[in-house]
Amino acid sequence: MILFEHVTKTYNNNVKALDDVSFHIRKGDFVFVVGHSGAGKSTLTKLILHEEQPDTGYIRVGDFDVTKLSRKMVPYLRRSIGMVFQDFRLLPNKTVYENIAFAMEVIGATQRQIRRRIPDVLSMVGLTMKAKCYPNELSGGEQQRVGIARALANNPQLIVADEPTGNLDDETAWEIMAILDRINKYGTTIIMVTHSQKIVDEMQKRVIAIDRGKIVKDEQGGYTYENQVSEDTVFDFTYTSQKQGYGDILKELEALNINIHHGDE
Amino acid sequence: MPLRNMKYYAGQSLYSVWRNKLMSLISMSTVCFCLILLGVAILIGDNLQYISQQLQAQFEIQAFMDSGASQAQVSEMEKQIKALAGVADVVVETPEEGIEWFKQEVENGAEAFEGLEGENNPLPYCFKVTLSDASQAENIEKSIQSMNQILQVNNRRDVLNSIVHFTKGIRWVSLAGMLIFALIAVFIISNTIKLAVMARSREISIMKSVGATDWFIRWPFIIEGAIVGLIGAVIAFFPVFFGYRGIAHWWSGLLDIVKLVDANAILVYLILAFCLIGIGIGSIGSIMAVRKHLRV
Repeated sequence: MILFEHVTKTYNNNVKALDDVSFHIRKGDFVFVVGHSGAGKSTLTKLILHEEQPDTGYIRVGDFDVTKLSRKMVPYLRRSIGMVFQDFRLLPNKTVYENIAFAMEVIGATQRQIRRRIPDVLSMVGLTMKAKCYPNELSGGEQQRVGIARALANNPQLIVADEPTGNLDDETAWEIMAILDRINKYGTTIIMVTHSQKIVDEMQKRVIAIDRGKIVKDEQGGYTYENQVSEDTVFDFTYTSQKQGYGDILKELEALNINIHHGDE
Repeated sequence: MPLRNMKYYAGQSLYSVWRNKLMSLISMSTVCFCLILLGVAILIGDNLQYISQQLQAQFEIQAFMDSGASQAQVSEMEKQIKALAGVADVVVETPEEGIEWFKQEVENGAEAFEGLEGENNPLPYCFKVTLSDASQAENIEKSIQSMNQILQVNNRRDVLNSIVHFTKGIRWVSLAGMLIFALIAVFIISNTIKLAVMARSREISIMKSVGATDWFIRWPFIIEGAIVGLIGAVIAFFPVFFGYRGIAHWWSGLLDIVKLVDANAILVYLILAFCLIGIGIGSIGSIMAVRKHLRV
Protein backbone atom coordinates (compact mmCIF):
# COMPACT_ATOMS: atom_id res chain seq x y z
CA MET A 1 0.00 0.00 0.00
CA ILE A 2 2.70 2.46 1.02
CA LEU A 3 6.36 1.99 0.26
CA PHE A 4 9.17 4.31 1.30
CA GLU A 5 12.65 3.40 0.08
CA HIS A 6 15.65 5.39 1.30
CA VAL A 7 13.67 8.61 1.41
CA THR A 8 15.56 11.75 2.39
CA LYS A 9 14.02 15.17 2.65
CA THR A 10 15.93 18.33 3.55
CA TYR A 11 14.29 21.72 3.93
CA ASN A 12 15.85 25.02 2.98
CA ASN A 13 17.30 25.58 6.42
CA ASN A 14 19.44 22.44 6.00
CA VAL A 15 17.48 20.51 8.56
CA LYS A 16 17.15 16.90 7.53
CA ALA A 17 13.47 16.29 8.14
CA LEU A 18 13.74 12.71 6.97
CA ASP A 19 17.02 10.86 6.62
CA ASP A 20 17.16 7.62 4.64
CA VAL A 21 13.75 6.41 5.73
CA SER A 22 12.46 3.04 4.48
CA PHE A 23 9.30 1.19 5.45
CA HIS A 24 6.46 -0.74 3.93
CA ILE A 25 2.82 -0.58 4.99
CA ARG A 26 0.60 -3.32 3.67
CA LYS A 27 -3.03 -3.01 2.65
CA GLY A 28 -5.26 -3.26 5.70
CA ASP A 29 -2.54 -2.28 8.18
CA PHE A 30 -3.14 0.05 11.10
CA VAL A 31 0.06 1.97 11.79
CA PHE A 32 0.89 4.62 14.36
CA VAL A 33 3.59 7.15 13.57
CA VAL A 34 5.06 8.61 16.73
CA GLY A 35 7.88 10.98 17.57
CA HIS A 36 8.26 14.36 19.20
CA SER A 37 7.60 17.63 17.46
CA GLY A 38 10.00 18.26 14.64
CA ALA A 39 10.98 14.62 14.36
CA GLY A 40 9.67 14.40 10.81
CA LYS A 41 6.16 13.02 11.29
CA SER A 42 4.43 15.79 9.39
CA THR A 43 7.03 15.58 6.64
CA LEU A 44 6.12 11.94 6.34
CA THR A 45 2.41 12.68 5.82
CA LYS A 46 3.25 15.55 3.47
CA LEU A 47 5.30 13.22 1.34
CA ILE A 48 2.50 10.67 1.22
CA LEU A 49 0.09 13.38 0.05
CA HIS A 50 2.63 14.84 -2.38
CA GLU A 51 2.52 18.18 -0.59
CA GLU A 52 6.30 17.88 -0.49
CA GLN A 53 8.67 15.95 -2.69
CA PRO A 54 11.65 14.00 -1.39
CA ASP A 55 15.23 14.88 -2.33
CA THR A 56 16.11 11.26 -2.91
CA GLY A 57 14.43 7.91 -2.54
CA TYR A 58 11.30 6.29 -3.86
CA ILE A 59 7.73 6.55 -2.59
CA ARG A 60 4.75 4.54 -3.73
CA VAL A 61 1.21 5.00 -2.42
CA GLY A 62 -1.33 2.52 -3.78
CA ASP A 63 -0.88 2.48 -7.52
CA PHE A 64 0.81 5.87 -7.57
CA ASP A 65 4.54 6.32 -7.97
CA VAL A 66 4.55 9.46 -5.86
CA THR A 67 8.14 10.39 -6.67
CA LYS A 68 7.35 10.61 -10.38
CA LEU A 69 3.81 11.93 -10.07
CA SER A 70 2.90 14.70 -12.50
CA ARG A 71 1.09 17.77 -11.18
CA LYS A 72 -2.00 16.74 -13.04
CA MET A 73 -2.17 13.40 -11.26
CA VAL A 74 -1.78 14.74 -7.71
CA PRO A 75 -5.55 15.25 -7.20
CA TYR A 76 -6.15 11.62 -8.16
CA LEU A 77 -3.57 10.43 -5.62
CA ARG A 78 -5.35 12.48 -2.97
CA ARG A 79 -8.74 11.03 -3.94
CA SER A 80 -7.39 7.64 -2.94
CA ILE A 81 -6.47 8.99 0.51
CA GLY A 82 -8.86 10.22 3.19
CA MET A 83 -7.36 12.91 5.40
CA VAL A 84 -8.41 13.43 9.02
CA PHE A 85 -7.08 16.57 10.70
CA GLN A 86 -6.36 17.54 14.28
CA ASP A 87 -8.44 20.73 13.89
CA PHE A 88 -11.27 18.85 12.08
CA ARG A 89 -11.33 21.40 9.23
CA LEU A 90 -15.07 21.55 8.85
CA LEU A 91 -16.77 24.44 7.08
CA PRO A 92 -18.71 26.32 9.76
CA ASN A 93 -21.39 27.62 7.40
CA LYS A 94 -22.31 24.17 6.12
CA THR A 95 -24.28 21.44 7.88
CA VAL A 96 -22.78 18.02 8.61
CA TYR A 97 -24.46 16.70 5.48
CA GLU A 98 -23.21 19.62 3.36
CA ASN A 99 -19.70 19.31 4.70
CA ILE A 100 -19.50 15.72 3.54
CA ALA A 101 -21.33 16.49 0.30
CA PHE A 102 -18.77 19.24 -0.37
CA ALA A 103 -15.91 16.74 -0.35
CA MET A 104 -17.78 14.69 -2.94
CA GLU A 105 -18.95 17.62 -5.06
CA VAL A 106 -15.48 19.00 -5.55
CA ILE A 107 -14.28 15.80 -7.14
CA GLY A 108 -17.30 15.70 -9.42
CA ALA A 109 -19.67 13.25 -7.72
CA THR A 110 -23.29 13.42 -8.88
CA GLN A 111 -26.09 14.45 -6.52
CA ARG A 112 -27.37 10.90 -6.80
CA GLN A 113 -24.05 9.43 -5.66
CA ILE A 114 -23.90 11.95 -2.84
CA ARG A 115 -27.43 11.15 -1.63
CA ARG A 116 -26.59 7.47 -1.55
CA ARG A 117 -23.18 7.69 0.08
CA ILE A 118 -23.71 10.17 2.91
CA PRO A 119 -26.15 8.08 4.98
CA ASP A 120 -23.66 5.20 4.80
CA VAL A 121 -20.69 7.17 6.08
CA LEU A 122 -22.79 8.95 8.72
CA SER A 123 -23.94 5.63 10.11
CA MET A 124 -20.34 4.37 10.14
CA VAL A 125 -19.44 7.19 12.55
CA GLY A 126 -22.80 7.07 14.37
CA LEU A 127 -24.01 10.53 13.42
CA THR A 128 -27.08 9.70 11.34
CA MET A 129 -29.25 11.90 13.53
CA LYS A 130 -26.97 14.92 13.30
CA ALA A 131 -26.93 15.36 9.52
CA LYS A 132 -28.67 18.73 9.69
CA CYS A 133 -26.55 20.19 12.49
CA TYR A 134 -23.93 22.85 11.99
CA PRO A 135 -20.42 22.15 13.34
CA ASN A 136 -20.79 24.67 16.18
CA GLU A 137 -23.78 22.67 17.44
CA LEU A 138 -21.59 19.56 17.85
CA SER A 139 -19.07 18.49 20.49
CA GLY A 140 -15.41 18.16 19.56
CA GLY A 141 -15.70 14.40 19.30
CA GLU A 142 -18.73 14.67 17.05
CA GLN A 143 -16.95 17.18 14.84
CA GLN A 144 -14.05 14.79 14.44
CA ARG A 145 -16.47 12.03 13.56
CA VAL A 146 -17.80 14.28 10.81
CA GLY A 147 -14.18 14.73 9.73
CA ILE A 148 -13.79 10.95 9.54
CA ALA A 149 -17.08 10.57 7.68
CA ARG A 150 -15.86 13.15 5.18
CA ALA A 151 -12.57 11.30 4.77
CA LEU A 152 -14.54 8.12 4.06
CA ALA A 153 -16.95 9.78 1.64
CA ASN A 154 -14.91 9.18 -1.47
CA ASN A 155 -14.20 5.59 -0.49
CA PRO A 156 -10.43 5.84 -0.07
CA GLN A 157 -8.19 2.81 0.35
CA LEU A 158 -6.09 4.71 2.87
CA ILE A 159 -6.89 7.04 5.77
CA VAL A 160 -4.16 9.38 6.97
CA ALA A 161 -5.08 10.82 10.36
CA ASP A 162 -2.84 13.61 11.62
CA GLU A 163 -3.24 13.81 15.41
CA PRO A 164 -6.98 13.11 15.18
CA THR A 165 -7.35 12.99 18.95
CA GLY A 166 -4.99 15.88 19.68
CA ASN A 167 -7.78 18.33 20.48
CA LEU A 168 -10.00 15.89 22.34
CA ASP A 169 -10.31 14.66 25.91
CA ASP A 170 -9.48 11.05 26.73
CA GLU A 171 -12.97 9.66 26.65
CA THR A 172 -13.77 11.24 23.32
CA ALA A 173 -10.42 10.16 21.95
CA TRP A 174 -11.39 6.56 22.63
CA GLU A 175 -14.60 6.99 20.70
CA ILE A 176 -12.56 8.16 17.75
CA MET A 177 -10.12 5.27 18.11
CA ALA A 178 -12.99 2.78 18.21
CA ILE A 179 -14.35 4.22 14.98
CA LEU A 180 -10.95 4.16 13.26
CA ASP A 181 -10.41 0.60 14.42
CA ARG A 182 -13.77 -0.43 13.00
CA ILE A 183 -12.98 1.24 9.66
CA ASN A 184 -9.67 -0.61 9.63
CA LYS A 185 -11.44 -3.90 10.23
CA TYR A 186 -13.50 -3.29 7.10
CA GLY A 187 -10.19 -3.24 5.21
CA THR A 188 -9.14 0.40 5.00
CA THR A 189 -5.45 1.01 5.66
CA ILE A 190 -4.92 3.58 8.41
CA ILE A 191 -1.89 5.68 9.25
CA MET A 192 -2.29 7.72 12.39
CA VAL A 193 0.19 10.28 13.60
CA THR A 194 -0.10 10.78 17.33
CA HIS A 195 1.50 12.01 20.52
CA SER A 196 -0.69 9.96 22.79
CA GLN A 197 1.22 7.23 24.56
CA LYS A 198 -1.93 5.83 26.12
CA ILE A 199 -3.63 5.25 22.83
CA VAL A 200 -0.62 3.63 21.25
CA ASP A 201 -0.07 1.36 24.24
CA GLU A 202 -3.70 0.34 24.43
CA MET A 203 -4.24 -0.32 20.73
CA GLN A 204 -1.23 -2.63 20.33
CA LYS A 205 -0.75 -1.90 16.64
CA ARG A 206 2.36 -1.44 14.55
CA VAL A 207 4.32 1.63 15.65
CA ILE A 208 6.82 3.55 13.56
CA ALA A 209 8.84 5.88 15.77
CA ILE A 210 10.75 8.72 14.17
CA ASP A 211 13.44 10.78 15.79
CA ARG A 212 15.45 13.47 14.05
CA GLY A 213 14.36 12.24 10.68
CA LYS A 214 15.30 8.61 11.26
CA ILE A 215 13.11 5.64 12.02
CA VAL A 216 14.30 4.53 15.45
CA LYS A 217 11.75 1.77 15.88
CA ASP A 218 9.26 -0.06 13.70
CA GLU A 219 7.44 -2.91 15.40
CA GLN A 220 4.17 -4.18 16.74
CA GLY A 221 3.26 -3.01 20.21
CA GLY A 222 3.18 0.03 22.51
CA TYR A 223 4.88 3.34 22.76
CA THR A 224 8.23 2.04 23.85
CA TYR A 225 10.42 4.27 21.78
CA GLU A 226 11.25 6.40 24.80
CA ASN A 227 13.74 3.76 25.90
CA GLN A 228 15.44 3.97 22.61
CA VAL A 229 15.54 7.71 22.82
CA SER A 230 16.87 7.89 26.36
CA GLU A 231 19.59 5.39 25.63
CA ASP A 232 20.78 6.66 22.31
CA THR A 233 19.95 10.27 22.14
CA VAL A 234 20.77 13.44 23.97
CA PHE A 235 17.98 15.88 23.42
CA ASP A 236 18.97 19.11 21.87
CA PHE A 237 16.22 21.61 22.46
CA THR A 238 17.35 24.11 19.89
CA TYR A 239 16.68 21.45 17.34
CA THR A 240 12.92 21.65 17.66
CA SER A 241 11.70 23.65 14.73
CA GLN A 242 8.02 23.79 15.51
CA LYS A 243 6.15 26.30 17.61
CA GLN A 244 6.27 24.33 20.79
CA GLY A 245 7.96 26.06 23.69
CA TYR A 246 10.55 24.64 26.03
CA GLY A 247 7.95 24.04 28.74
CA ASP A 248 5.72 22.04 26.44
CA ILE A 249 8.56 19.82 25.43
CA LEU A 250 9.55 19.24 29.04
CA LYS A 251 5.99 18.23 29.88
CA GLU A 252 5.89 15.97 26.93
CA LEU A 253 9.14 14.32 27.90
CA GLU A 254 7.98 13.93 31.48
CA ALA A 255 4.85 12.27 30.20
CA LEU A 256 7.06 9.86 28.32
CA ASN A 257 9.30 9.21 31.34
CA ILE A 258 12.34 10.31 29.43
CA ASN A 259 15.47 11.10 31.35
CA ILE A 260 16.89 14.37 30.26
CA HIS A 261 20.63 14.39 29.77
CA HIS A 262 22.43 17.65 29.66
CA GLY A 263 25.07 18.07 27.03
CA ASP A 264 28.00 18.20 29.46
CA GLU A 265 27.03 15.18 31.51
CA MET B 1 -15.96 21.07 -17.90
CA PRO B 2 -19.14 19.16 -17.12
CA LEU B 3 -22.43 21.02 -16.80
CA ARG B 4 -22.93 20.23 -13.12
CA ASN B 5 -19.54 21.79 -12.42
CA MET B 6 -20.60 24.92 -14.31
CA LYS B 7 -23.55 25.25 -11.97
CA TYR B 8 -21.27 24.87 -8.99
CA TYR B 9 -18.77 27.43 -10.31
CA ALA B 10 -21.48 29.98 -11.08
CA GLY B 11 -23.06 29.56 -7.65
CA GLN B 12 -19.73 29.88 -5.87
CA SER B 13 -18.75 32.93 -7.92
CA LEU B 14 -21.99 34.82 -7.39
CA TYR B 15 -21.92 34.04 -3.69
CA SER B 16 -18.38 35.32 -3.45
CA VAL B 17 -19.20 38.54 -5.34
CA TRP B 18 -21.98 39.12 -2.83
CA ARG B 19 -19.80 38.25 0.17
CA ASN B 20 -17.10 40.73 -0.89
CA LYS B 21 -19.66 43.43 -1.64
CA LEU B 22 -17.43 46.41 -1.02
CA MET B 23 -14.43 45.20 -3.00
CA SER B 24 -16.68 43.93 -5.76
CA LEU B 25 -18.29 47.35 -5.93
CA ILE B 26 -14.94 49.10 -6.11
CA SER B 27 -13.77 46.74 -8.85
CA MET B 28 -16.96 47.22 -10.81
CA SER B 29 -16.62 50.99 -10.55
CA THR B 30 -13.08 50.88 -11.89
CA VAL B 31 -14.04 48.67 -14.80
CA CYS B 32 -17.01 50.94 -15.36
CA PHE B 33 -14.87 54.07 -15.35
CA CYS B 34 -12.32 52.46 -17.63
CA LEU B 35 -15.01 51.49 -20.10
CA ILE B 36 -16.67 54.90 -20.04
CA LEU B 37 -13.31 56.32 -21.06
CA LEU B 38 -12.96 53.66 -23.69
CA GLY B 39 -16.46 54.43 -24.94
CA VAL B 40 -15.67 58.12 -25.21
CA ALA B 41 -12.45 57.26 -27.02
CA ILE B 42 -14.23 54.93 -29.42
CA LEU B 43 -16.97 57.44 -30.11
CA ILE B 44 -14.57 60.33 -30.66
CA GLY B 45 -12.45 58.19 -32.94
CA ASP B 46 -15.39 56.85 -34.90
CA ASN B 47 -16.88 60.27 -35.34
CA LEU B 48 -13.64 61.87 -36.41
CA GLN B 49 -13.25 59.17 -38.99
CA TYR B 50 -16.83 59.55 -40.10
CA ILE B 51 -16.49 63.32 -40.33
CA SER B 52 -13.23 63.14 -42.21
CA GLN B 53 -14.87 60.72 -44.64
CA GLN B 54 -17.62 63.23 -45.22
CA LEU B 55 -15.03 65.94 -45.75
CA GLN B 56 -12.99 63.75 -48.03
CA ALA B 57 -15.99 63.38 -50.27
CA GLN B 58 -15.59 67.08 -50.88
CA PHE B 59 -11.92 66.82 -51.73
CA GLU B 60 -10.86 65.47 -55.02
CA ILE B 61 -7.72 64.76 -56.96
CA GLN B 62 -7.73 66.30 -60.39
CA ALA B 63 -5.80 64.53 -63.10
CA PHE B 64 -5.41 66.00 -66.58
CA MET B 65 -4.98 63.94 -69.74
CA ASP B 66 -2.52 64.88 -72.42
CA SER B 67 -4.29 67.10 -74.84
CA GLY B 68 -5.06 65.29 -78.00
CA ALA B 69 -5.95 62.01 -76.30
CA SER B 70 -8.75 60.17 -78.01
CA GLN B 71 -12.16 59.41 -76.52
CA ALA B 72 -11.28 55.74 -76.29
CA GLN B 73 -8.06 56.43 -74.43
CA VAL B 74 -9.95 58.64 -72.00
CA SER B 75 -12.51 56.00 -71.12
CA GLU B 76 -9.75 53.39 -70.80
CA MET B 77 -7.95 55.71 -68.37
CA GLU B 78 -11.18 56.27 -66.44
CA LYS B 79 -11.51 52.53 -65.91
CA GLN B 80 -7.94 52.25 -64.67
CA ILE B 81 -8.34 55.03 -62.15
CA LYS B 82 -11.62 53.61 -60.88
CA ALA B 83 -9.89 50.31 -60.23
CA LEU B 84 -7.41 51.86 -57.78
CA ALA B 85 -7.88 51.02 -54.09
CA GLY B 86 -9.36 53.91 -52.12
CA VAL B 87 -11.05 55.58 -55.08
CA ALA B 88 -14.70 56.30 -54.50
CA ASP B 89 -15.66 57.76 -57.83
CA VAL B 90 -14.24 59.25 -61.02
CA VAL B 91 -15.99 61.91 -62.98
CA VAL B 92 -14.69 62.80 -66.44
CA GLU B 93 -14.85 66.41 -67.41
CA THR B 94 -14.66 67.02 -71.13
CA PRO B 95 -12.84 70.08 -72.51
CA GLU B 96 -16.24 71.49 -73.40
CA GLU B 97 -17.44 71.21 -69.84
CA GLY B 98 -14.18 72.79 -68.69
CA ILE B 99 -14.70 75.80 -70.85
CA GLU B 100 -18.30 76.09 -69.69
CA TRP B 101 -17.07 76.07 -66.09
CA PHE B 102 -14.56 78.83 -66.80
CA LYS B 103 -17.16 80.88 -68.57
CA GLN B 104 -19.53 80.70 -65.67
CA GLU B 105 -17.21 80.85 -62.69
CA VAL B 106 -14.61 83.37 -63.84
CA GLU B 107 -15.53 87.02 -63.91
CA ASN B 108 -16.30 88.15 -67.43
CA GLY B 109 -15.49 84.56 -68.43
CA ALA B 110 -18.16 84.51 -71.08
CA GLU B 111 -16.23 87.06 -73.08
CA ALA B 112 -12.71 86.04 -72.10
CA PHE B 113 -13.15 82.42 -73.17
CA GLU B 114 -15.20 83.26 -76.22
CA GLY B 115 -14.04 81.37 -79.23
CA LEU B 116 -12.18 78.61 -77.41
CA GLU B 117 -14.81 75.96 -78.04
CA GLY B 118 -14.46 73.03 -80.36
CA GLU B 119 -11.24 72.79 -82.34
CA ASN B 120 -9.75 75.76 -80.53
CA ASN B 121 -10.27 74.38 -77.02
CA PRO B 122 -6.86 74.23 -75.22
CA LEU B 123 -8.18 72.33 -72.23
CA PRO B 124 -7.39 68.64 -71.76
CA TYR B 125 -9.78 66.00 -70.46
CA CYS B 126 -9.89 66.12 -66.67
CA PHE B 127 -10.62 63.31 -64.16
CA LYS B 128 -12.14 64.41 -60.89
CA VAL B 129 -11.29 61.61 -58.46
CA THR B 130 -13.05 61.41 -55.10
CA LEU B 131 -11.57 59.21 -52.39
CA SER B 132 -13.14 56.74 -50.02
CA ASP B 133 -10.01 56.62 -47.88
CA ALA B 134 -8.07 59.79 -47.26
CA SER B 135 -4.97 57.99 -46.08
CA GLN B 136 -4.62 56.48 -49.57
CA ALA B 137 -4.49 59.91 -51.21
CA GLU B 138 -0.76 59.90 -51.74
CA ASN B 139 -0.62 56.42 -53.23
CA ILE B 140 -3.53 57.07 -55.54
CA GLU B 141 -1.95 60.26 -56.71
CA LYS B 142 1.34 58.52 -57.44
CA SER B 143 -0.41 55.73 -59.30
CA ILE B 144 -2.28 58.17 -61.48
CA GLN B 145 0.85 60.20 -62.05
CA SER B 146 2.68 57.13 -63.31
CA MET B 147 0.00 56.29 -65.87
CA ASN B 148 0.66 57.10 -69.53
CA GLN B 149 -0.76 60.21 -71.04
CA ILE B 150 -1.32 61.94 -67.71
CA LEU B 151 -0.21 65.52 -67.91
CA GLN B 152 -0.57 66.73 -64.38
CA VAL B 153 -2.15 65.84 -61.03
CA ASN B 154 -3.46 68.42 -58.60
CA ASN B 155 -4.44 67.65 -55.06
CA ARG B 156 -5.45 68.95 -51.66
CA ARG B 157 -3.19 66.62 -49.82
CA ASP B 158 -2.07 69.10 -47.16
CA VAL B 159 -5.61 69.45 -45.83
CA LEU B 160 -6.25 65.74 -46.04
CA ASN B 161 -3.03 64.93 -44.26
CA SER B 162 -3.74 67.15 -41.32
CA ILE B 163 -7.15 65.55 -40.88
CA VAL B 164 -5.67 62.08 -41.04
CA HIS B 165 -2.99 62.96 -38.51
CA PHE B 166 -5.40 64.60 -36.15
CA THR B 167 -7.68 61.58 -36.21
CA LYS B 168 -4.83 59.21 -35.57
CA GLY B 169 -3.52 61.40 -32.73
CA ILE B 170 -6.82 61.47 -30.91
CA ARG B 171 -7.12 57.72 -31.30
CA TRP B 172 -3.72 57.07 -29.78
CA VAL B 173 -4.25 59.42 -26.85
CA SER B 174 -7.62 57.93 -25.97
CA LEU B 175 -6.29 54.42 -26.41
CA ALA B 176 -3.37 55.12 -24.07
CA GLY B 177 -5.71 56.60 -21.45
CA MET B 178 -7.96 53.60 -21.72
CA LEU B 179 -5.02 51.24 -21.36
CA ILE B 180 -3.85 52.92 -18.18
CA PHE B 181 -7.29 52.61 -16.65
CA ALA B 182 -7.57 49.04 -17.81
CA LEU B 183 -4.34 48.26 -15.95
CA ILE B 184 -5.68 49.93 -12.80
CA ALA B 185 -8.88 47.93 -13.15
CA VAL B 186 -6.95 44.69 -13.57
CA PHE B 187 -4.93 45.49 -10.46
CA ILE B 188 -7.98 46.25 -8.34
CA ILE B 189 -9.85 43.16 -9.52
CA SER B 190 -6.76 41.11 -8.80
CA ASN B 191 -6.86 42.43 -5.24
CA THR B 192 -10.55 41.65 -4.87
CA ILE B 193 -9.97 38.09 -5.97
CA LYS B 194 -7.02 37.84 -3.61
CA LEU B 195 -9.38 38.69 -0.75
CA ALA B 196 -11.87 36.13 -2.03
CA VAL B 197 -9.13 33.49 -2.13
CA MET B 198 -8.13 34.31 1.44
CA ALA B 199 -11.74 34.29 2.65
CA ARG B 200 -12.04 30.78 1.29
CA SER B 201 -8.64 29.44 2.32
CA ARG B 202 -10.20 26.80 4.55
CA GLU B 203 -12.45 25.55 1.78
CA ILE B 204 -9.52 25.53 -0.59
CA SER B 205 -7.38 23.50 1.79
CA ILE B 206 -10.20 20.97 2.17
CA MET B 207 -10.72 20.86 -1.58
CA LYS B 208 -7.04 20.19 -2.11
CA SER B 209 -6.91 17.50 0.53
CA VAL B 210 -9.86 15.57 -0.91
CA GLY B 211 -8.39 15.79 -4.40
CA ALA B 212 -10.19 18.57 -6.28
CA THR B 213 -8.30 19.38 -9.47
CA ASP B 214 -6.41 22.66 -9.77
CA TRP B 215 -8.82 24.02 -12.33
CA PHE B 216 -11.83 23.03 -10.29
CA ILE B 217 -10.45 25.22 -7.52
CA ARG B 218 -9.48 28.06 -9.84
CA TRP B 219 -12.58 28.40 -12.01
CA PRO B 220 -14.92 30.00 -9.46
CA PHE B 221 -12.41 32.79 -8.87
CA ILE B 222 -11.85 33.43 -12.55
CA ILE B 223 -15.58 33.45 -13.15
CA GLU B 224 -16.00 35.80 -10.21
CA GLY B 225 -13.59 38.26 -11.82
CA ALA B 226 -15.35 37.93 -15.15
CA ILE B 227 -18.73 38.57 -13.55
CA VAL B 228 -17.42 41.68 -11.78
CA GLY B 229 -15.95 42.91 -15.08
CA LEU B 230 -19.15 42.17 -16.96
CA ILE B 231 -21.35 44.01 -14.47
CA GLY B 232 -18.99 46.99 -14.61
CA ALA B 233 -19.20 46.94 -18.40
CA VAL B 234 -22.99 46.82 -18.45
CA ILE B 235 -23.19 49.71 -16.00
CA ALA B 236 -20.73 51.71 -18.15
CA PHE B 237 -22.73 51.08 -21.30
CA PHE B 238 -25.77 53.07 -20.26
CA PRO B 239 -24.25 56.52 -19.66
CA VAL B 240 -22.02 56.15 -22.72
CA PHE B 241 -24.76 55.07 -25.09
CA PHE B 242 -27.54 57.34 -23.92
CA GLY B 243 -25.15 60.24 -23.40
CA TYR B 244 -23.94 59.87 -26.96
CA ARG B 245 -27.44 59.53 -28.31
CA GLY B 246 -28.32 62.81 -26.63
CA ILE B 247 -25.27 64.54 -28.07
CA ALA B 248 -25.91 63.16 -31.55
CA HIS B 249 -29.50 64.35 -31.37
CA TRP B 250 -28.44 67.80 -30.28
CA TRP B 251 -25.79 67.97 -32.99
CA SER B 252 -28.18 66.99 -35.75
CA GLY B 253 -30.32 69.98 -34.90
CA LEU B 254 -27.23 72.18 -34.95
CA LEU B 255 -25.21 71.27 -38.04
CA ASP B 256 -26.55 69.69 -41.11
CA ILE B 257 -23.45 69.63 -43.34
CA VAL B 258 -21.38 67.33 -41.14
CA LYS B 259 -23.19 64.45 -39.46
CA LEU B 260 -22.28 62.34 -36.42
CA VAL B 261 -22.36 58.54 -36.44
CA ASP B 262 -25.91 57.32 -35.85
CA ALA B 263 -26.19 56.11 -32.24
CA ASN B 264 -28.42 53.14 -33.03
CA ALA B 265 -26.04 51.96 -35.72
CA ILE B 266 -23.27 51.41 -33.18
CA LEU B 267 -25.48 49.97 -30.41
CA VAL B 268 -24.62 46.32 -30.97
CA TYR B 269 -20.96 47.01 -31.65
CA LEU B 270 -20.69 49.05 -28.46
CA ILE B 271 -22.43 46.44 -26.29
CA LEU B 272 -20.25 43.66 -27.64
CA ALA B 273 -17.03 45.62 -27.24
CA PHE B 274 -17.93 46.64 -23.69
CA CYS B 275 -18.90 43.15 -22.56
CA LEU B 276 -15.85 41.52 -24.10
CA ILE B 277 -13.44 44.06 -22.66
CA GLY B 278 -15.17 43.98 -19.25
CA ILE B 279 -14.98 40.20 -19.10
CA GLY B 280 -11.41 40.34 -20.41
CA ILE B 281 -10.25 42.78 -17.74
CA GLY B 282 -12.02 40.78 -15.02
CA SER B 283 -10.59 37.45 -16.09
CA ILE B 284 -7.06 38.75 -16.51
CA GLY B 285 -7.21 40.31 -13.04
CA SER B 286 -8.44 37.12 -11.44
CA ILE B 287 -6.06 34.85 -13.33
CA MET B 288 -3.23 37.02 -11.99
CA ALA B 289 -4.57 36.77 -8.45
CA VAL B 290 -5.14 33.04 -8.69
CA ARG B 291 -1.64 32.47 -10.04
CA LYS B 292 -0.09 34.53 -7.30
CA HIS B 293 -2.19 33.65 -4.27
CA LEU B 294 -3.76 30.28 -4.94
CA ARG B 295 -1.14 27.65 -4.33
CA VAL B 296 -2.74 24.55 -5.67
